[in-house]
Amino acid sequence: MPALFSAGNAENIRLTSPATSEYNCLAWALSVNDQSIWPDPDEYNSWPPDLPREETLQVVQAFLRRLGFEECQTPNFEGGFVKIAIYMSNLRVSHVARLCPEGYWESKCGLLVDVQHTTLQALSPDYGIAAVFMRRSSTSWPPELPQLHPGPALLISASTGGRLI
Amino acid sequence: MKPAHLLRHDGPENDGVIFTRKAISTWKGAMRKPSYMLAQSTHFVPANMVRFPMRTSTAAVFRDEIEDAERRRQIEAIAHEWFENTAHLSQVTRYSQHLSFATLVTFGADAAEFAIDRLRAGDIQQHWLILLKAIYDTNPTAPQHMGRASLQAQDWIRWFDERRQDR
Repeated sequence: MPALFSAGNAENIRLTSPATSEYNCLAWALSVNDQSIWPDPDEYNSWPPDLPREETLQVVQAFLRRLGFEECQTPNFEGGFVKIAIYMSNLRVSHVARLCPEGYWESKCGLLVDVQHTTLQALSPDYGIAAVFMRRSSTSWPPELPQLHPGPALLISASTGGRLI
Repeated sequence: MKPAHLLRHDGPENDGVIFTRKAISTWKGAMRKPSYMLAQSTHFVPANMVRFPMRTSTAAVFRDEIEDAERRRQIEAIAHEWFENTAHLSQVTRYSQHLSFATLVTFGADAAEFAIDRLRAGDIQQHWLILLKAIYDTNPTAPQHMGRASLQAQDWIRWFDERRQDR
């Protein structure tokens, strides 16, 4: 597994789960393990229907703010907060990792495994750089997710004058 | 028209004949018989193969099957390379930026069938879903299944089977 990351080795990355495609890095950072959350244009991943499906920092931050996150300056551990690091590559959000109270970072690597890494740099440069950090109170964790897919299609009947049925 | 047994060694080489799988398997069965039985039989060549050139090499006889198998092997190798190089990435859009993805799309229906087979076999990967969408330019998965690869795989398999029945 460390071989996947050019800066990774057995000392700074530890594998913690078998490979699965049931969830992805952003979901895992929010302690969700039954769905993938990502603003992909193909609409295969969960995403709030009223947010753009763009892998931009603004969009991902907007989503995280809805869950109670706020920007913070450092990735250092702060008691009472859950911290998230957002990796950027080519001006796109490329990965999200979560800081554990024990001091290491937890990541879900694409469609593969979960890992713990001692530094954010352990996944660079493959994931780009950890450029932005956000934090949220650790009380009431995990956060309640908003609606992440469009609702059922509404039927409009011509016979009822265009009213919803 | 001559009876089949008279056409057994008749006719020039004919590379343009397309044989059904049933005809080929029948011929395979016939060829498994001992030679003395073939010599005694005047009807071992099925009627739908009467134009079959018996002098043609085995490789040519099974050309279609060999080509199918080779094509399948190519798709499998490219898909493996695609997955190996991208599965660790979190950025989903980078999957479709890989050269192997573009190559797979050019295989069209053959690549789609491969992807559906993988999903049926329980290899639930978003790669196959993305590939299918690129080939068919549609996404038949239910909106409420977003983010849940297993359910989306079932949607795709159902859509694929219904489409095949309609054709």
